[in-house]
Amino acid sequence: MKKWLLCLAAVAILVILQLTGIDLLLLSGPIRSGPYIHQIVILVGINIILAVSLNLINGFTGQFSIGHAGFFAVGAYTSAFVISVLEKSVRAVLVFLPEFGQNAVLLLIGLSAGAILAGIAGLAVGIPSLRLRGDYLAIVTLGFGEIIRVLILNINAIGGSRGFTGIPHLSNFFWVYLFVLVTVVVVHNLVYSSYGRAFISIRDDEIAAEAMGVDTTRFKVTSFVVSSMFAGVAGGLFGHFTMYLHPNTFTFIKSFELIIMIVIGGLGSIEGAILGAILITVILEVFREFGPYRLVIFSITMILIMLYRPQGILGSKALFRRKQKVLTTR
Amino acid sequence: MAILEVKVCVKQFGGLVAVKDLSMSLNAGDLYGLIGPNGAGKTTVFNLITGVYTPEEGTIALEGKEIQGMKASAIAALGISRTFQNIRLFQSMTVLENVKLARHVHRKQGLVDAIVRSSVMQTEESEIERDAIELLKIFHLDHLAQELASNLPYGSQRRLEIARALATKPKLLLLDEPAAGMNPQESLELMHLIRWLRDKFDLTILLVEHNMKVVMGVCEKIQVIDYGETIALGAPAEIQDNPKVIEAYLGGA
Repeated sequence: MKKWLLCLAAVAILVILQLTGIDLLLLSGPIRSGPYIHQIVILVGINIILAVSLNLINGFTGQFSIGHAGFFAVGAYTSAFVISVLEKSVRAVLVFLPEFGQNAVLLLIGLSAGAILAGIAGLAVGIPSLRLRGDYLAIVTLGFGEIIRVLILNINAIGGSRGFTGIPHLSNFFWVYLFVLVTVVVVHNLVYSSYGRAFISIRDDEIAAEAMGVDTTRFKVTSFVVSSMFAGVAGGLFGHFTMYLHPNTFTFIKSFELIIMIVIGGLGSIEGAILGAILITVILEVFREFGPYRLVIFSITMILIMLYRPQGILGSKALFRRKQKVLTTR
Repeated sequence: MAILEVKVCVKQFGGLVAVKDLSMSLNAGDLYGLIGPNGAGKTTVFNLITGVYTPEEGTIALEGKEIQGMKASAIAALGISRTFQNIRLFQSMTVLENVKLARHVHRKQGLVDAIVRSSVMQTEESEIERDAIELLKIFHLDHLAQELASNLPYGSQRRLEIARALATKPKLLLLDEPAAGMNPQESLELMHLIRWLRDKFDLTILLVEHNMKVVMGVCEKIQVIDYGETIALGAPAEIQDNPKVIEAYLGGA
């Protein structure tokens, strides 16, 4: 029950910030805030959605997928395309609504379309490839991510190699963090349910899971599709924030960045994925002033963390693990 | 009527015939032992029954329904559960979660129920938890409920595996060397436990075991196989004196 209150409070804060138009970051004194910091904060939110959803398949279900950028791209382009086609007619129908209402409806349409198509892509990739294990699955998903990128490069209607321009600015701090909240709550609830136990059992021992009645293929696909759908949502939010999409954003390097986030934070921990997403996004920006040495410093940081904390910063610990009622009396 | 009916099953691995024309028939309530020397094909038989392997020939029927070729998870849902020769617990889950997972086949909650934590899901979860703790109590594991399964001592891990298998509410329970690695005292307790479980849960139990004391002590019917073929079938006393069995175990003169 308390959790619901916490979520409600978070939503309320987001709504107030949105309505009053106060940019939380512009208020902060010591740090010279501005559009740059604002953009990083948005990026952090989007990366949290991506990392937490990727953690569902990589961390909890134990299937090593490195194609998350592909689903991210599918969501981004689908949402942008759907809105570019529908914007005029939707605004005409909703003429009675104020502009932010119209924007909200448009964004939700775009995000749903992005999520659905990314989910379908997840299903299409998942059904044949989740029979594979370990390295083989990794290679297939890596290939899938690249196929998506090359496809986009060659479709003229969505800009091809010129990039997709003129995407309306619909998402903002409010929407990004609303969906961060939705993602975290959904993944958390899934993980602490019969489904979550099934996911983790597949990670621990597939043969035993199957013998205990868990249809492993089906649950792997379920986890893959849910994960892809959230990547699609993140894509939609991203496109409607940057207002410009280019296939180069969605290379396998993006997928690896996400994997680094969840590994650094701790595979199989929601809080770890959040922490990882924040850390990696911020570190990459902080080191920007070192110019060409940025990635060197970044790599050294990674190596050090892996040397001294191979299980990730939080390990598989859950800071806010649901307290299990223990009925035993001893 | 036979609860499990295996008819002339054949399983080959490349050129090796692991199980050859094997037939077995278990009646409801049987405590049935399957024994044989190392490499006789006992575990392969288990894997055939539980759907890990599909037999090349022959049929396997549970309560008259043919199950060969079905997925292992589907067979588990029909009411066959098992333990493993080399323990296969879910290491990163707690003892309690291991047992709770096994209730998966009977779940009523859908994906949406789980996401919104609907009342269906919540009542089911507390039901599952209550049942799981009941089961753990039977195996004296309830005080370890929140412990990671991998932290348990060997004997407790074996008992937990049985508890987990029972949580699927099976009609037929397959125990693959449950007494492996146990000392005489523990084996003795296990024998009593197996009998007691059969009566309490209305089970049919098929047992593979190397410990002859356990097999002879607990099973009412024993089938001996060697090189995938049945060489003897009968009550423990008959088996002990069967020359073929003695030859299989001790070698021909």
